[in-house]
Amino acid sequence: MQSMNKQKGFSRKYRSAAPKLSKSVYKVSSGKTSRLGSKLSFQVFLPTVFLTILGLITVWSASLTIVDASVPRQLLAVLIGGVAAYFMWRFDYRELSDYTTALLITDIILFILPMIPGLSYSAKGMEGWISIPLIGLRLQPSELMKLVTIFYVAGLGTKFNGHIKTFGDYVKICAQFLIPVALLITQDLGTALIVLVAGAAIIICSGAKKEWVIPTIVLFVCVVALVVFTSMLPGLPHLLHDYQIKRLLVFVDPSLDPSGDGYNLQQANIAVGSGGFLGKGIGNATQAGQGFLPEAHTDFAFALFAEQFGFVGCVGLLGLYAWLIFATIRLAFDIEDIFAKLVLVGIVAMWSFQILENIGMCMGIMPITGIPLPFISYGATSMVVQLFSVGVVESIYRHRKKAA
Amino acid sequence: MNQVGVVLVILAIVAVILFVVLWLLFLGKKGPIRLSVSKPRVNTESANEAGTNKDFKGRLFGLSIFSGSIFTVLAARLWSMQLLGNQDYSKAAQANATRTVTTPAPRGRILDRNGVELVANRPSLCVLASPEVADDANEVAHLALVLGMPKEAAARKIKDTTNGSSGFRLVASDVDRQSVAYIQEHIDSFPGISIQERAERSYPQAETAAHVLGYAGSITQEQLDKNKEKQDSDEAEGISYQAGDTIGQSGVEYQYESVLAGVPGEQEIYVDASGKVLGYGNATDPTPGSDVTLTIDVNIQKAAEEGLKIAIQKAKNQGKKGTAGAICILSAKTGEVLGMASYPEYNPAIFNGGISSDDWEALAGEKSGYPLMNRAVSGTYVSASTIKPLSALTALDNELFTYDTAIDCVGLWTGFGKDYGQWCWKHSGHGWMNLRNGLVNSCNSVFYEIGKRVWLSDNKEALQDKFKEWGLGSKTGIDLPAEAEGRVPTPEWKWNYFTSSSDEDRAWKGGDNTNLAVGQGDILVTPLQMATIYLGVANSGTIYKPHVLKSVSSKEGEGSVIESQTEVLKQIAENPGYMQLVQSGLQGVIYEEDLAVAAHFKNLPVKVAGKTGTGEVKGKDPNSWFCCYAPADDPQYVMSVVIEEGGFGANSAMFAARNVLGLIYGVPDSSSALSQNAIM
Repeated sequence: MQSMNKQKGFSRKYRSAAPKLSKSVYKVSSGKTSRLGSKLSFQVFLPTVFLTILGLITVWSASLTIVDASVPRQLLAVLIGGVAAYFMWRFDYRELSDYTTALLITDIILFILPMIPGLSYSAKGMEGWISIPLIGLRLQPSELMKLVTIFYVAGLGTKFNGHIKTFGDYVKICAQFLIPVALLITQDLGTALIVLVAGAAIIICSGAKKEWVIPTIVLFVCVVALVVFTSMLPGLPHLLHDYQIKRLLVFVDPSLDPSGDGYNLQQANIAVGSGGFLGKGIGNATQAGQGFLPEAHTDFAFALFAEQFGFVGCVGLLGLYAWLIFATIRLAFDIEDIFAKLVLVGIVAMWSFQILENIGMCMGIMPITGIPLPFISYGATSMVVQLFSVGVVESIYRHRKKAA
Repeated sequence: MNQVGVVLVILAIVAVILFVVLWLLFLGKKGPIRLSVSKPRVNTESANEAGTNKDFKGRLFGLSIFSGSIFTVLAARLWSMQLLGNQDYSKAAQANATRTVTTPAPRGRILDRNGVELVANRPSLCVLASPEVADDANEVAHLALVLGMPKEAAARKIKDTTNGSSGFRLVASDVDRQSVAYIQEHIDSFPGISIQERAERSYPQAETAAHVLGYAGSITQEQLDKNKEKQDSDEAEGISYQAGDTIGQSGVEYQYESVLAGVPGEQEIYVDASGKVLGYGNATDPTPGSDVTLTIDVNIQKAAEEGLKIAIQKAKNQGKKGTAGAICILSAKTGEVLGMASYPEYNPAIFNGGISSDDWEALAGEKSGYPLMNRAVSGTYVSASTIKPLSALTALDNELFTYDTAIDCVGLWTGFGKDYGQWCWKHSGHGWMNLRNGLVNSCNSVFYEIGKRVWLSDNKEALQDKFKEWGLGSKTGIDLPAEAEGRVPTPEWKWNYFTSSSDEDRAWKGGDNTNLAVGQGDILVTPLQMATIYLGVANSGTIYKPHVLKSVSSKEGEGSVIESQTEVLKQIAENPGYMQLVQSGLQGVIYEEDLAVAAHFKNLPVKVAGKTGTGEVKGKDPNSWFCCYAPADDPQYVMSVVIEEGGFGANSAMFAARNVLGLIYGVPDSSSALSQNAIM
């Protein structure tokens, strides 16, 4: 229902805005495609709509047994996300490329938001939430920081025009990138990891030389190994929380911690595996429905989805993600503007890694982190930010002609 | 759905995805390889920019590979989990949501040889609670109030997970009807509470035969592990136990667990993660266990227990401690155990519904005198003079003594020289004694002489050989648990046992042999072993295997599935003449040795043959022994009695045996005479 509204919204806008936008360049470049098609990429829009519908179905099925999962709240998020995406679509993203400093400041403000007394909200031991006073929606600014940081790093990368010529420049862009990453690490390690992957993809695509990138990755792996190592030994500084170390150990051996993360992991595996070929059907998920699978509507939403829809449904879901991601990659190929290319690279890397991490976690091939599955997991912030990301892609499509 | 169909559908899906991806990337009209959106329209690209564009293509292609490989990995893992591993995961999911609740089966009854119930079952109303009740403090308090128990105790029982984490927990058993009625009327205020009628052990004869019957209690973790090991190993026969099950822990309850225990009923239930019941599946009713009939005669048993108490009272009257005792009555013709008692006793009903730790302390502690121990089979004692028939047979068999060999007993026996003199119990001496009279009067000098002659003969271990031949030092094989072997000391044993002593002290000496011949020193026997030896004497060498099981009734209808058979344990070839001498001597013990003893037996319609004994225990009052059989000319009953710290055999243990004989022949003991003879 929500997605229908959104579609209507688009078409209405199109009608009213049509006369102003009938520039020859679109007609020529888009050839046989309709005029709406010249402004809205259906290759990106359609998978988004389908994914959102699947997500709502999943949240609805979770709401049958899980009190926390509220379909109206999720619909509200879709609505807010849709509106945000619409405005983003209309907005000429190119203006952003010059405002890297402003973007960094935005990042910092978002970082500080949860620390402001009137806004901060904490529950279930989670940090970094804010509660918007009037509508009562709880948001996680760190989710938004993902997108802002992608713009920020893309802006930094654009200046090199496809080639980072000196090692000094490379170090500089890396250092600038590390500021928001460092902020995020203190707040939400999972989100920081996504931003790290997205930012790294942008920097690599900005033209960083292989002989710099590979040692950087090696150095990064060494630092991570060192941090994990010191956190596991008594007497040395523990940079990671105990629960994070435990998740790593459980990843290696799921039989550990049978009541905590190990239990969650095993139950998620059972949920996915027992889905079988066609799944158990909507509302018949015994793992999630009878409470064996914790967080079935949020972190482990994929396990719930997989249990209900089986292999066929999961391949369909992966297909929709692939459709969305490869359509975005194609747009990155097509687009000439370097800033746009880099933003798209960041978004593709973000989606890809988030899908790998969340779905992989449900199947025991990635460690457990609290990262939501884009468009599917219950949670307003994630939904708004993911739809907003689609808005960014659509905006790039709409403004694909070189700056006039 | 057939396999081929599945594979085809999957291949189709994969092909479609592949096609879409390839079309998006390369084949579409606007594919990036062929043209970019506005490339043809841009005329003024510098060479540098064209190069940059080419670089970007390579990088974006790398990004495509990154994303593409993620999808490949995830799809492959989905394939392996949902298609290849589906069965295992489905089973795990099912196991998650399914629980099996067992309903205990009533155990079989235990009857005496005439069908009198010794152990039966009685219904007990139990209040059960599901685990989540523990979270509701008000409900727990309310329930505790109704049941009349402290609310902490009720809460502890509900949190107790010995019956499995999701099963119902037993809050109280034997709840009175009034409380049950109240709970049933107000069942709405007691969510998660249910009432169940369970069978509990009842003991119509109270403590009678408690040691033979044993008790049934909750299975211990150790027993559970053992049972699991057994079930997991070879052919999974027998019962698979679960925590909280009742299992025989001692006596017949333990020995015949496999027939007494029924097969528990099972009920499959479907639960959610919190254990809430969502539905019910297959159910099977419990199959009760089989009834077991024992060889015990409840009247003889009661007389035996009463006799023990009388014997102990007599000992106490004489200033002896008389702390404990045991009695064994066998059928001389079959080896059937007609009665078997041990003192102190206990009430097996105390184990119903789980024994409290205070009660357990009281039963298991040293202070209480180990009332759970069946001293008739597990207690070992110095045999004292009751061994003398075997010593006499040793002397005759080895031609060390003839019927007429006589010894002059002067009180102090100095067969090994004056420095090694040993006293006969009669310090004034018996005068000239042949073997029969030596047995009748229990003259130690005669038996010291036997010990000495054995010591000087070719076979220095002739005594030990004889004792072992008759079954001492090894189990009789009675169908009761925890039977002790006792001990027949040999030179080899002594050498290995006293390892910290000097070689001189460790070596076997003539004095050890003379001690052995009179049943003192290191020899240890169980009351049951002595009963079988007197059974052998009564039957001139034939010892039947002692047993308590008579039959096991079939579960349905009349008849029995198992009937115990009379089994010859030992057939000892003794010279009939020698046996007659011993039998005559034992009869003489009762009627000739001491008028005070004879007085007790005079009014019996049958002749009795027997032997007293007084076992010396360092630092304690001596153990009082009495073994006998009756009638002497056609033995039907064999008995052995031991009273710990009871003093002289004739003045304590004898009373227990006499009490049983009094019941059997309907002639109670009319004499209260005490022997003045300190017969060892």
